[in-house]
Amino acid sequence: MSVDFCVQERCSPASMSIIMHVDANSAYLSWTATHLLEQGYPVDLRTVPAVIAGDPANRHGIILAKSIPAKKFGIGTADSLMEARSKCPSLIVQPPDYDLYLHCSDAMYEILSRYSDRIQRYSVDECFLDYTGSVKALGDPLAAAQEIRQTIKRELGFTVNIGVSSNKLLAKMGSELEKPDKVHTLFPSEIREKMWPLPVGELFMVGRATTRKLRRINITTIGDLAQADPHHMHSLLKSHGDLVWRYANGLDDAPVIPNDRIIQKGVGNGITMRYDVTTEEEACPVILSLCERVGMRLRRLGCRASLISIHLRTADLSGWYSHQRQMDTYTRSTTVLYRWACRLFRECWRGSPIRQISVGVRELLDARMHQISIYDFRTLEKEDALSDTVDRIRKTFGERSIVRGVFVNTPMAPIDGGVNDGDYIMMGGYRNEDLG
Amino acid sequence: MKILAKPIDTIVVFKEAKRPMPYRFRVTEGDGRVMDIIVDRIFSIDERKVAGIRSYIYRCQSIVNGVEKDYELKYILDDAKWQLYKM
Repeated sequence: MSVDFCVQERCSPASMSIIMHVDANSAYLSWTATHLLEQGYPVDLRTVPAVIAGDPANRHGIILAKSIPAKKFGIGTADSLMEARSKCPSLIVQPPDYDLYLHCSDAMYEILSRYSDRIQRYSVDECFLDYTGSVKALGDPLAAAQEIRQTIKRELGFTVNIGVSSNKLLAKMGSELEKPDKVHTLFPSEIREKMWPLPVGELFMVGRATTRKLRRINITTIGDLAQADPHHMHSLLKSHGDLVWRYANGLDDAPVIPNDRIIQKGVGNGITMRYDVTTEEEACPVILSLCERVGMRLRRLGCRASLISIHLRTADLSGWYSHQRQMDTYTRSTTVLYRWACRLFRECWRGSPIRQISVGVRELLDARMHQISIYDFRTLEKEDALSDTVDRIRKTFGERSIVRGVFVNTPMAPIDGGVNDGDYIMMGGYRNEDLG
Repeated sequence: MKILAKPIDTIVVFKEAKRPMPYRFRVTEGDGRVMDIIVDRIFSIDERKVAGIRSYIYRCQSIVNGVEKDYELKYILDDAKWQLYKM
């Protein structure tokens, strides 16, 4: 069925929208694979059992992404590396490279922006594109979607799935239909045939807990949910019931909210340590090395933050606790963040050995606009200038080219962590209310 | 040609707003031997963005150890670094 026909048949003039959802296939793995091939790596990770995982020697051995051949061995995301190796001894393991992933995401966004100026970066590997205004100039949406898919493959070396529909929900569901490297339409007229036979757990916003509840009342497919009584759904799941019932019927009026960078509500950095921290003297350098990266990320974003938090996880991984505080001023200085983080640590640490520490900041503000303090604005200006200079040196000569004296002749990394541990939206995306 | 992706020391000519043109480069072999190569001809320059990393690929020709050889040099824009990419 041609797209034009679907649009004319199903959409009233008020809802004549064409929305595309572009989703990179096995993003982390395929981006790493593409980069390695470019460096002369002998095999394409996408074609062999391979995973992206942290370093098990540092107790970071969790699977972040897997290839399709690895999936056939029963390896799943969030499995431990040991578990995965027992399922497939010849498994290839590569570490994550988040800077590379942001490069890939930016490049994908750049290609999409040739087709529309209304693009919502939903997460690092997903974008919504409102093609409605481009139909006149660029023509048939399905042909454009195919062109986008091919351009990304040819120029960037990785594959994407594209869902084309009249709203965001259906476009997203469409892009999930059959992978990899495919374009699917899922217009309202096609819901019954393409979406309703799928298991209810495949529907966006239906997680494991909701699936369990729905199964109990014999709702196993999206079609069952769509045809259920909406009042019944409301009484069972409250407002979430209304939402998933609407989604099952392909109803979604959320607009594409353009954002040229991946929306970030906070910046965080955490580390699982090789040894357990038992004293404050041991904890402070770890906190400093985490704050170094938080500060760098904050400055790269061009933001200041006013809320700082610290999360601690005990050595047996059984419990964790956190503490947060509003700082006196909006800051982007590593030193200021470090002082506050240490204060939080002292206030909340219960004395038991610690295995994981994370530092996060929220309530971000554009770095150019902030309330200065009459007491210490000169010191703060100096702190900012110092931080900027250190960043420039690190950018030009490498991250380890300038480090704090406290780390000299110690086995500790001067800048540690590497995965955003806060609200950084890497994969999975967020809902519309998060954009407010 | 095989992908080598070997970092090299390079002397480059910058002309007005044009792309940087490699003039000669030094490559260190696996056994530690250093080889200086003058870029005799540049056939083409292509811009690439594989994995989102912007680079220029120069298809070149030089006399290496008395033999005429085709090879590719790569300039990675974000890192401002040169590689002997393929030979």
